[in-house]
Amino acid sequence: MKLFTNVALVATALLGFTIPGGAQTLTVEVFDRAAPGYVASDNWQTHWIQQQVKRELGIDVQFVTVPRAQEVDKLNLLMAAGQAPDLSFTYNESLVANYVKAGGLTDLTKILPVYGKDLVKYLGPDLLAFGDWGGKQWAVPAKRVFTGAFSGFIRKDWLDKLKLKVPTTVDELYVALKAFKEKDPGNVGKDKVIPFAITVDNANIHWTSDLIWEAFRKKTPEEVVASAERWTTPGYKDAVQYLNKLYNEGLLSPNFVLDKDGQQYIKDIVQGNVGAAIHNWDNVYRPNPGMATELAKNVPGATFVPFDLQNRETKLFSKWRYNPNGLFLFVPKFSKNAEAAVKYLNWMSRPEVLLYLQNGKEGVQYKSVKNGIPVDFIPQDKLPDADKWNATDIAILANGKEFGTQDKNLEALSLGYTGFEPLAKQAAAISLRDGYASFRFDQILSLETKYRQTLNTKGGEIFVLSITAKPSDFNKVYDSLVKEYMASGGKAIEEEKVAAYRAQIAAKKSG
Amino acid sequence: MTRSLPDRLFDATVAFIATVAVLLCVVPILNVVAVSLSSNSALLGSKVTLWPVEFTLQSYAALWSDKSMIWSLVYTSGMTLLHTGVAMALSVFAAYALSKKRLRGRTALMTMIVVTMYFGGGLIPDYLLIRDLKMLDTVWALVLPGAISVFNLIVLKSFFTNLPDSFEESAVMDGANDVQILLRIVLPLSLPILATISLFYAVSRWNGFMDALFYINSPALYPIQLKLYQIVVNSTALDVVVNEGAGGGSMNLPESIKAAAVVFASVPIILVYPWLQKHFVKGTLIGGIKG
Repeated sequence: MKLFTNVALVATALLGFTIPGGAQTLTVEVFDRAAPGYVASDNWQTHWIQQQVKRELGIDVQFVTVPRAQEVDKLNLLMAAGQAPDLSFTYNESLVANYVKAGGLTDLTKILPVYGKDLVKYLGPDLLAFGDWGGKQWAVPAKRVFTGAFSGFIRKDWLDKLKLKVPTTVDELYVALKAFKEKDPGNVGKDKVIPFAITVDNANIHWTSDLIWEAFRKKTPEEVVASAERWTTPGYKDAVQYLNKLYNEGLLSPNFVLDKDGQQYIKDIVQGNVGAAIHNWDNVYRPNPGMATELAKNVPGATFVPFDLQNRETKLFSKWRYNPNGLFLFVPKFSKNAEAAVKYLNWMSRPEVLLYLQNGKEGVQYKSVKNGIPVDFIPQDKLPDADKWNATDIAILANGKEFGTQDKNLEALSLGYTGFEPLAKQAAAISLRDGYASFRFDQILSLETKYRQTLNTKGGEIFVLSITAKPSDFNKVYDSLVKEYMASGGKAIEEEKVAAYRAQIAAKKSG
Repeated sequence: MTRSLPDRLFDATVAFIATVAVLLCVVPILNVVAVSLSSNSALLGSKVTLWPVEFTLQSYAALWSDKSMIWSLVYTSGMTLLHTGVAMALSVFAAYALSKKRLRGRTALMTMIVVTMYFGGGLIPDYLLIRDLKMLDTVWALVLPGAISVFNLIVLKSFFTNLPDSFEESAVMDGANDVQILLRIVLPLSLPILATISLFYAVSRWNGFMDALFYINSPALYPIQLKLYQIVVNSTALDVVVNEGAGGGSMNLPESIKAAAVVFASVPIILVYPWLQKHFVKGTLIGGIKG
């Protein structure tokens, strides 16, 4: 069958005509997460899309699955072999930059305003700029509806017992952690209590301690913020030293070095041994694995409340947040369907389409509507196979539910955390408070791609060895490791970024 | 018969080491089975080691109700059988021919075959080849490329070479041709090696998933190990959580489902072992030649 279609396509291309009434076929990538009972490329949502798009645009949509965790490998292979879907995507920005550099993508600059009027309006120029390299629109950045990243969480019941308030500075946090250890308000046993829990993930080394780093960051010009490596960012050494102190006084997870996948972290929290942590803003409240819910079952009365840390110098609660872009959507160079791909995205940018794809059908996927927001969603594993669905992966144009206004989006977001709505709302607000996004370079940083992997591993070593060092050795260990890190690519990356930053600012001024 | 002390000490040491080795293999399996039969709360509370806590069949029920999982099991069994059949036929014919000294140019042929053990084209050329052969997204992409394993071929060939020539000579005198000799005399004498090599092919096909990851796009053609790999990896990758922010978390699968999927994918191939066991112990060749 497939062979036949291919032959037919080749034949029509050779003869230079289209079969009357024959529709164009557009292949669209879709993530496969191997959820039981759900076929990513063949379900009620894909059927609906196929039907609608065929009727309205005369395009046959075909979904091509790419396994979520191996998306980069598979995409590289498909791109190299000229087999990638007409509409492909990835979250990986440096991968897209690589494709641009290698000339592998279709330039959408001219097509977008013609076939994507609604799309351009929905995304807006600021967001679209994220798909621009060297003045050309190589990719369409999807919208990240919610850009908050981090919040802290601390055991409210423990604080109450100790008559302490929720900390807002690193000094107050230290006092609380020390009291958790010495007074053991949860009666978990002094050797078992973990006042502050962290994990090690080399690629995101700051993930479980981010707010602490930010509290120590020194005021620096934008150029330094944009270009400095983590380990040489002014003030960050003090943050590591703070963690070193916590570790040596028994206030950190004793075996954090081994916890690379964060599983021990989850178990420690659920068992009620952990006093505080920093993570994704919704970490403990997520319905899955449901840490806060399970904790309350194991330890009646135990609750986590969000906390935030103030910068020691600026007194702001600044922290990193995501850029407003999600997936990068692009059309490979060899695709003949760039126009159809843009038309498809244009169709998806309509509010009623996004609403339906992200929320499903009332009475099937959700039970009621509150203030215009669908609520009471039926958990995926309680739905019959025919009704199983995926809100994120099909609606590729937006990461997070889109209801048109910031307030409504926040409201909808917190409603996703059944039983923890007010706390989730509070954590969401913290994650956005005084947030700053990474500087975006509009040229390709080739050294970044070259060295990043190695540097991540080295960064993991700095993190582990300097936190676990004896306090008297800390300076020696940290300085020598950072020196080595900078020599093995860190310095080169910084210099490349400084040059790129200056060029970009100069171009902006003259342009 | 009483045995000397050193002898008994030796036996005890061997038994001890063997027991440790067995436990090293069995304990993780028991742990996975226990996890698959425990409730999610018990797992999050680290209460499960070797025995299920808050026993539940929920995870298995979830897998059984997933038609694609059952299909994958049936499909993978069929695909493994097909692969093993094709691979055994090709390997036996090749090995038998190569074991004969009268085959002209056999050293050159053998060298060409052995070279592929050490040098390969790499992933992308392989992919392009499979694409140009029109095997992408078909079961043949999983059956044919691995149909002759050089290692297995060499093992088979040396086994055939070591069969005494007298068998063949006597058959020739009785008027048998090459095919008859292979089918009627050589193969019946080679059952243990055939069983072993078949098992090698079957197990490697059953456990393989990298080729499917690249060559197969239709979920209906996913072998069970690829499904399993995705179930286990997709929901643990921290990178996924970090990239997707608030959006991704709800896709996490409970530990017990992952463990149940592991059991689900392992049981069929484990069942094959006892069935082939008898061929490993039978010494078919003994007593073949008298005087």
